[in-house]
Amino acid sequence: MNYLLHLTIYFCIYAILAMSLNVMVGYCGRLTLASSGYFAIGAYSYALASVLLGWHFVPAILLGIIISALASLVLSVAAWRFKGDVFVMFSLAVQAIILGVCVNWAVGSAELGTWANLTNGPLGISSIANPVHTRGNFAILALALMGGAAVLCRLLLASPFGRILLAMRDDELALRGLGKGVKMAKVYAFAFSCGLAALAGSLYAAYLGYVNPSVAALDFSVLWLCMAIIGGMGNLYGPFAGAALLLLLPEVLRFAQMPTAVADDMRLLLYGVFLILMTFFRPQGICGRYRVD
Amino acid sequence: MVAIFADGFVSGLGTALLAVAFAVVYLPTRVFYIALGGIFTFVPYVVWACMMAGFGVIASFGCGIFSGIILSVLAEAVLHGPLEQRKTATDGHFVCSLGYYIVLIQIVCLIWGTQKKAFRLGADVMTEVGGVRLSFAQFTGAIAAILILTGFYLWVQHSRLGTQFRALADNPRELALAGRDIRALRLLAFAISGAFAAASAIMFASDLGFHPYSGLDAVLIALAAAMVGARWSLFGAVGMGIVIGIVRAQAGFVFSAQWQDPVTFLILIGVLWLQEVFSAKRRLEAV
Repeated sequence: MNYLLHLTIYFCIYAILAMSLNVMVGYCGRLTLASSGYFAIGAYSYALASVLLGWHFVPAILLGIIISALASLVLSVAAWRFKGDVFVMFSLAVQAIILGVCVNWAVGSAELGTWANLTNGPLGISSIANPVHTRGNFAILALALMGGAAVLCRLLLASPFGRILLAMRDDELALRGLGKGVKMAKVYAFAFSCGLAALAGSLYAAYLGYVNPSVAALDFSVLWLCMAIIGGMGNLYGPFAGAALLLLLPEVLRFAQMPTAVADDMRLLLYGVFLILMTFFRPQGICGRYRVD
Repeated sequence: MVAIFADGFVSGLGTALLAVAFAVVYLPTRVFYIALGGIFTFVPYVVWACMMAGFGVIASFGCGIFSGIILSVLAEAVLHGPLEQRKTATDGHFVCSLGYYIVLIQIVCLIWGTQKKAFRLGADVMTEVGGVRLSFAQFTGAIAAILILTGFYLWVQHSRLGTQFRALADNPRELALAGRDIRALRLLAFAISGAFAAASAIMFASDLGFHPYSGLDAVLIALAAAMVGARWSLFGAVGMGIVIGIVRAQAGFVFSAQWQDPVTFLILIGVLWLQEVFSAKRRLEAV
């Protein structure tokens, strides 16, 4: 039962992340590799607010979301001018810089929380407050947050603003010709997407009680992008399918009596194979609507 | 200070090789060839396996370069070529290349494990060149990189096939309309790319050792060099690769090795912005 609850919590975190990528890639049409960076901003903000300032769960999460939304300006302003490969490169640069800050913003023996040591470097931050005391309660909390995020996505993307995003993805020039404010639409959409990534990061930090720079690693961005693409984007169901697949595949391999190390490599290998097959046979993913071809 | 500069220059040559490998495919095909990271990772393991099987050093390096060419040609023949025929957009090629990268890395992990490996046991022999001390691997790697890049430059500038290749990089559609065999030229581009990536991988692996996750980091730096230096010219990547190598060495010296990536990418962001701000104004539909 405990293990099922653990899987549920991870499912919620992955689903929120996939929704975040769905907004950025599926609705704005911008492939990004910076998602783990914004995830890390959420995780670190929550950790610092709860450990140093003693903030409660909700304000600490809100702080992470606000900082991440502000930091998204770097990407959205870049998206005013760049798209395609150059934007991917730009997102990669942002991710590398965030990772660099997480690893390096710590000088020797300086106390955690001072300007000399904000992230505690490679050691990370431990003893992060958990808002609830049992795993079952945390699963309920995670499900509620995931449900809230899904409702928010649904409302936002079904609104006139969501239709502007879709039109921008399909034909930005035509939309600009109609006099719509494309630049601000990108700013709002990116802020929303990065805010969701930060929400997932905060939840992750609260659940594990520990965060270190590895959460900002590029490998995670790649893995999450795979999850979003395979699940599908451009609607609300794809992210859930992607998150479920990311979670269930290792379980299936474990069921096949594979050693854990081999199962881990096989899982990633299958992800790569899925990505290739998807590009050829189902570019919109398992149940998405946006085709990456 | 001179030693740091020399160290950066040598590692910049390796980056330049990899940047050219990326640009050779990117310019004519617009494929964001991230699978080069997989080839970069795979090749040193092939070389190591050949050495373990008793092959000589040169034969092992040759097998490594051949495997790089095969893997890259396979990417075009099985993945990007058919996708191109389906008129897949650049995002689709990127996702497919990402999939191929993941497959190659995981094959390496499954066959050879995740431990760091090296071609030699113990410390490398040091040589002194003009007052600068370099390891033997650095010295021979630098000489090989200079020879390869010079040879490629001469081939591209002065041979008939090289001219076609330049035309492919500048305007593939025009070349197709002139009746040239674009598919064969594309295969050649991927083969050259695989060979260059393999040479760069061997150069870095000889000096620093290798592990399954070394490819992505190296390729991303090379991508940065290629995107900034070679968006419009094949050899801009060489200059930018060397500059990035030197800047990274200086950043490592002044701050710490862990600041090398952030500094590299900060420069990338700055240069991309400057290129965009000061480039000629384009029509709205071209942006």
